[in-house]
Amino acid sequence: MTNIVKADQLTKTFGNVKALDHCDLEIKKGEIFGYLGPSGAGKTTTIKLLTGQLHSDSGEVTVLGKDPFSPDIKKKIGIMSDMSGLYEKMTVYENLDLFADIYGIRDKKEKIRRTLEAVELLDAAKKKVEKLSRGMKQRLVFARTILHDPGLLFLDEPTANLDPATADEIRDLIRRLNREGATVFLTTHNMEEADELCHRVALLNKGSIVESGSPEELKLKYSHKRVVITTKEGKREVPLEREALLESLGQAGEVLIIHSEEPSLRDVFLTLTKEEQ
Amino acid sequence: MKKMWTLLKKDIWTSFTDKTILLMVLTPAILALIFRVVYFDPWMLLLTMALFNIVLVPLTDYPLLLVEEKERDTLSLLSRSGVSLAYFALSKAGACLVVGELMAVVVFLIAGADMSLLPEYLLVHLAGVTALLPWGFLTGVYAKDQNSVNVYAAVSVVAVYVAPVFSYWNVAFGRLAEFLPTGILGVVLKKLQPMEGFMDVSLVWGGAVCAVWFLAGIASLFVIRKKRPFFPTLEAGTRQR
Repeated sequence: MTNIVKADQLTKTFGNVKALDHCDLEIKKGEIFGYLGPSGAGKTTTIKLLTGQLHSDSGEVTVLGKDPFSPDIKKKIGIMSDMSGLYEKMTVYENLDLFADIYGIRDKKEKIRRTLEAVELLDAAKKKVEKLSRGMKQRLVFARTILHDPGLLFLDEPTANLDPATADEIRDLIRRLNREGATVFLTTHNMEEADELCHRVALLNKGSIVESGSPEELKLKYSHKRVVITTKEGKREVPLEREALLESLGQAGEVLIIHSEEPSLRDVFLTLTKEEQ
Repeated sequence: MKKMWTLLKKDIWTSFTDKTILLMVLTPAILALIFRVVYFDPWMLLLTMALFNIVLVPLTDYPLLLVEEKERDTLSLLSRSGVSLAYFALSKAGACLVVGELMAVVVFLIAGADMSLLPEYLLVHLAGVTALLPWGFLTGVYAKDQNSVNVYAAVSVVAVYVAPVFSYWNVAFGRLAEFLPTGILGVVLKKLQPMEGFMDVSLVWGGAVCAVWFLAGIASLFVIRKKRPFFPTLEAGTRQR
């Protein structure tokens, strides 16, 4: 798969705070890439550097093979941040109509209709934004992000502060867009969400990438390599080695459940950050 | 051009839907109506309320429109959508000119002045407003929110409003008014009711004063721009380290 975004040794400092410290990133076409870390780790700074909203102190970035500050890039990427910037006195339709004109979208009526349908806001098209629920506003922000059919999406904590049902809807939308060909770079501090959604992830802590890979690779790499055997007599933990496993099974009575113990991404992250300390 | 037209429509719409901006837009017309009931004198109405409109449009309405986007957190969104500082500033200036001229007509009609003077009145109104637009832009740059705009605007409005309004009663103010953009209204006022020595400004002189104020405002913006961005969030996407 080709790299659609490449960042080499990105560094950004704000005053005395190193927000990003020599980070390398590659995002492949067609994947959902998760960028994980706690608040203040540098996730939003990274998105701003990749999308031409901020200049790095050092390092190089290319997006779709070009400088992110290139005017061509803006029409090819969609950016969703945690600040909605919706025009509250306008209706749902009018908000999208405004940006359809700014982007110069042809057949905008049909495009807006299809976009509203995709985010399930067609029935609310004539409602003023100030009357919408939080979840509906987030879906409208999402609609505005994808209105111009960008092939590359930057989503900064897209499900933050949403109720579980709405967060699920947004995740479904992300999966659907990815199936239709969009590459997604998403930041989140929700490790479970990243585990569920992302093809690959990078774990960020205090401005540095501490690990990267697919969720499965990371969980295997940091696995405790243990198996839990549950019998009527109780549970027993056994090392994930053939000889030890066979011996335990031989000694066990009636086996009720047998499963391996993999860490979650959260466990991996906590392990890595403890090691750093 | 389509992008500019889109932004211009939005900003004209905002002028009539944002409560703070709408209040400022309508104030000269509302006061003109009240004064008309109290004291019907077309000359006095134009002196006070038309002048008020010339001053409010660039020094209050314009910065309110600029700052409204700061408060709404839409600056980064506009920047990401490819809206440049020039489009941002010009669309709002254009909206102010359109809405300002519309309100100028309303004030003129309320004043009941001679309709044959309307075209010249609109021309001098446009010149006076345009001359002060760069100064209003400065207010928009430094104000954090709409409340701050009203505080800064109070100073700038008084600075260019008081001299011409009170020039009828004070010779020194009258002399000063000839060097202010607002003094250009004298071109129409003296046709309505000639008064020797009062705001005795020709169209050429008034136009020249307006041009100097406009250029001085632009020059000030250039100087400030070298030291800091006007709207950092909007301008973050330009390649200037």
